Amino acid sequence: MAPAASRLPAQPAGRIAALADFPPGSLVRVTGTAAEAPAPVVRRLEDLGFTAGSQVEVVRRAPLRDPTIYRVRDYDVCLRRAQAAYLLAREFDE
Amino acid sequence: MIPIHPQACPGRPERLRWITPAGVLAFTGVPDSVPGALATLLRDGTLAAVSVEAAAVVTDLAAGRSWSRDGSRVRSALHEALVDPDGWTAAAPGDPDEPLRAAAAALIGGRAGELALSHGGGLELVDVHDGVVTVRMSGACNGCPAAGITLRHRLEDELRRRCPGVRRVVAGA
Amino acid sequence: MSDHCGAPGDRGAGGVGVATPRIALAGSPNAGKTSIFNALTGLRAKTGNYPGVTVSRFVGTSRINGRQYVIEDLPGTYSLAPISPDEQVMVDVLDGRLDGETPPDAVLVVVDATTLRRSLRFAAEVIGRGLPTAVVVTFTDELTARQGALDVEAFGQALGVPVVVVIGRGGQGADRLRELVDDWRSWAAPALAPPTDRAELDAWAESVLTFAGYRPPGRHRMTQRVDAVLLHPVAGTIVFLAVMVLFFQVVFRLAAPLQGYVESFFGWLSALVTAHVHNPWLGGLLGDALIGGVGGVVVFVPQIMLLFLLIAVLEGIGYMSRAAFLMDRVMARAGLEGRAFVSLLSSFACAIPGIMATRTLPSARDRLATMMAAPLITCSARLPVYVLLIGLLVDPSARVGPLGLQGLVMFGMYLLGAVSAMLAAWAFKKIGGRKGTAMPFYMEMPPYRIPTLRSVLIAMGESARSFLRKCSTIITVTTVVLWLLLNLPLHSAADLRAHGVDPGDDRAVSAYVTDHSYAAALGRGVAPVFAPLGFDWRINIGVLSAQSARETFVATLGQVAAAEDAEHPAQALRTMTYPDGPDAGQRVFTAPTIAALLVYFAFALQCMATVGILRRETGGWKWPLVAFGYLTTLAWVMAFLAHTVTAALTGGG
Repeated sequence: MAPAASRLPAQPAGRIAALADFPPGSLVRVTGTAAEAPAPVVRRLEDLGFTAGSQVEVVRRAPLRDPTIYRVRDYDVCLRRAQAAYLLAREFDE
Repeated sequence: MIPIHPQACPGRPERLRWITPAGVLAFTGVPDSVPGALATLLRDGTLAAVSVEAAAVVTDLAAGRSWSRDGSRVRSALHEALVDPDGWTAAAPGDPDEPLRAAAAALIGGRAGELALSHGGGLELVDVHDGVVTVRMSGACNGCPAAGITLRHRLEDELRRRCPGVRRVVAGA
Repeated sequence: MSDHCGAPGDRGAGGVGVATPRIALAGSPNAGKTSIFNALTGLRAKTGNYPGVTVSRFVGTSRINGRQYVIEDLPGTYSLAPISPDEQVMVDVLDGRLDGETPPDAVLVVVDATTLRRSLRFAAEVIGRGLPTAVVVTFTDELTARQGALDVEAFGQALGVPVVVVIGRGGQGADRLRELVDDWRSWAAPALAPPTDRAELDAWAESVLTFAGYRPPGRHRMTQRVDAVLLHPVAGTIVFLAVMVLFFQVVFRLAAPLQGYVESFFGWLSALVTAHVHNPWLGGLLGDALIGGVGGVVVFVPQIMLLFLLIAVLEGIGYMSRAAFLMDRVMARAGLEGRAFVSLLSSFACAIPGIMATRTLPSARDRLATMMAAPLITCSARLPVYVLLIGLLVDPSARVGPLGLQGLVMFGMYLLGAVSAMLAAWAFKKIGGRKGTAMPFYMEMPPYRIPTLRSVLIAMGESARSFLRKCSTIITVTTVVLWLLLNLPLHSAADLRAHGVDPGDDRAVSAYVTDHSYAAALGRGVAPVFAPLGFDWRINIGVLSAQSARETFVATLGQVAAAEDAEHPAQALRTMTYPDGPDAGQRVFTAPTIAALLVYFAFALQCMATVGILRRETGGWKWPLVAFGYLTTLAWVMAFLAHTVTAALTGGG
C-alpha cells in the first residue's frame, strides 16, 4: 500500500515536473499541486486519488494527444492536459 | 502520520480502541507517561485512562465527555503522540504474552472458531508462551492435515495483523 | 446553489416521507449503484427532477417484508465537496437543505471493492454526515478474480457500520441487502465519525484497509490487452470508425428486413379494415389515420430497438468510455467533453435517449449545451422524411463517380446535422459565459466487463419505452386530429353537386373535401409565413402536423395528396401543382422548395416528445422554449437560404 501521508521526506532522485509532462510509461509520485491551481479543482483531484504521496502511472495518451489515462489507486482515470498540469510529480524508481 | 482508526468496545461506550500498526509502541499495558498532547487531555479531564495493546491504544473518556464532541481532539492528540514513541514510557513490565493471549482467545472465540465449526471441527486455545500459540483441534479437523494447516495459517495470519509478538501457531495434543 | 429555507422542520411533517422511510443511494459513478437500485426497486423507477435545478432524480419503491421503502438514487459523485450545481444538489439532499425536502432517513453507500483505496474516502465523508449509514460492497467477485482480498467482516468492524456484499452479476447478496434495509432503524453507528482532516482521513483509510486485510486487485489483464488495441493511435482509430460504421449499418441495413415485416403487418391490417369496414368515415379514420399514422411510426421500432440495444451493449462493455476518450479532443473544439459524444451518438437514434444520456455530464453548462445541440443530430424520425424528399429531388440513377447521388445527399444531410449540432453546442457554451471555475474534466475508464443480459435489457427497455410512449400518445392524437381537420366540414351530396363535383367520383370528392377542409384553411392561414420558402398550403399542413413528430409529415402529405398509397405518395406528389394563387398550375415540388423543406427539417425542433424531455431534464419551461425558439427561427432562415441558393443554381423558383 502506498504511504498515504502527505509529509513524506523529500526524495533525492528525480526531477519535479507537472504530471502532464511525463510521457506514457512513467511511474511517478505526486508531490503536490501547482500554486495557481484553483482550490476546488485541487480538492477534486485529491478525491480522485491524486493526493500527495500517491503513486501514479502514466498509461497512455489519446491518439489526438489529449486526454491521458493515468492509473492511480488501482483504477484508470483520464485527465486533460489542463488538469494534469496542476499536479506536480517526481519520477521514482522501484 | 501513523495509520489509525477507532473501534468501539461493546458495552463500554466511554472506551475506544484505536487500531494501530503492530509494534508502533514497544510495550503493552498502562503507560507511566505519554507525550505532551495526550498528557494534556489526561490532565484537563478529557481522558480518564490510556493503555497500550500490541496493535492498539485504548482510550477511556472521563465522565461527562462524549466522543462526538471530544473525539477529534483525542484523535489529533493520539496522532501527535504516536509519531513520538520515545515520549511513551512503560509501567512495570507485565506478562509479554498477555496481549497475544487475549487476541488469540478473541479470534478462537470468534471467527476462527466459527470457521472450524462450520467444517465440523473444533478449535481450542491451549497455551501461549514466548510468542508461540498452541491450539488443540478436535472433530473433523483433528487428523485432517489439510484442514489443520489451513486453519493454523489463517489463525497465524489474523494474529499477525493484530499482534507482532506472534511467532507461530502450533497444534498441540 | 439553493438558498436554504429558514427553520429546520418548517415543512417536516408534510408529505408522504413520514410514513415511508426514504433510503438514499450514494456512490461514485461506475460503483454499481444502478444495479443496486434495480435490485432494490425491481425497475419500478420514476424519474423526476429536483426542484428548480437541472438535475434529474431517480426514485423507486421497494417492498420488503410487507413494508414500503422509497429508494432514491443520488447522482454519482466522487466527493461531497461539490464543484458543480449537480453535486451541490446531492449534498443538499443529504443534509436536508434542499427546499421542500427532508433529508433521507438512511443512506446506503455503494463502493467498488476493486477501488477501495480511492472510494473509502467518499464512504468516510458520507458516514461522517451522521445519518444512519450502511456500506454496500460491489464487485468482490472481480476483486478475488484479480488476486485481491477483503475480509468483509473485519471491514465492517473497522468502519463501525453495517457492511453487506452484493454482486451485481447473479444478484448474490440482494436478499441480505433487503433485510438490512428493512432493519435500518437498528444500524450501528460509529462512536466517532471518520476524520475530516485530509491527512488524518488518509491515515484512517489506510488503517481500516489494513485491518480488513485488504489486498488491492492486480491489473485487469484483459482490459490492458484490449486497451492496447482499442486505444492505439492507429488500430484504435480504425476500430472506432468500424464501430461507427456498424452503428449506421444497424440503422440502415439490419433493421430494414424487420421494418419490412412491420410494414406488411400494417398493410395487412389496413386491408382488413378496407375489406370489413364499409362506413367510409370509420374506415378512413381507422385505416388512414390510426393504422397509417401509427404504423408509419411503429415501423421505426425495430431500428430504434436495435440502436438502443447496441448502445446498451457498448455502454455495458465499457467501450463508450473509450469512445468518449478518443473523441474528447474533437468535442473540446465545441467546448464540450468526450462524454457529450456518447449523448450525441445516441441522438442519431432519437434525441430522447441522447438528452437523457447527458446525465453523465458532471457540468451543468455542458449538459445544457449538449441538450440544445442534440435535436440537431439527424434522428431516425427524420429518415423517412429525407427518403421521401430526396426521392423527389434526385433521380435515383444519378451518380457522382461510383456513388449514387441520392446516397450522397443523404450523407450530406447527416453531416449538416452533426456539424450544426457541434456549432450550436459551441455557441451555447460561449453564451453560458466563463463565470466560475471551469469544471475539470476527468473520466474513469472502467475495466471491460461482459454486461449481464438483464442490465442490457433494462437499459434498452428504458429508452425504448420513452420512444413508444411518444408513438402511442402524441402521434396517435396528432394523426387523428389531422385526419379530422382534413375531412371536416362535411359536405352533402347536393353541396358537392352544386360545386360541380360528381358525388360518385371518389377521387374528385376527396380532392374537393380536402381543398375545402379546416386544415386547408389553416394551411392557407399560415401561408404568408412559409411562402418565401416555396411551401404551398398542403406542405404547410404537413409541416404543421410534423410539429408534433417529424414522421407524420410523410403520412400527412400522403393524406393531403390523396395518394392511393399513403406510404408511397411520391408519384402523386411529383405531379402535384398549385391549385390556386399566383402560381396556379405550376409544380409544387420544385428543387428549391424541396431543398428548403430538407433544410427546414434538418433544423426545426419538430418533436413534442423532445420538448417534453427537455422540460423534464431541465426542470422548467425556459430551456425547451429556448430550444424551440432558436431551432424554429434557424430552420426558417436556413430554409430560406437553401431556397434562394437552389433557385439561383437551378434557375427555377
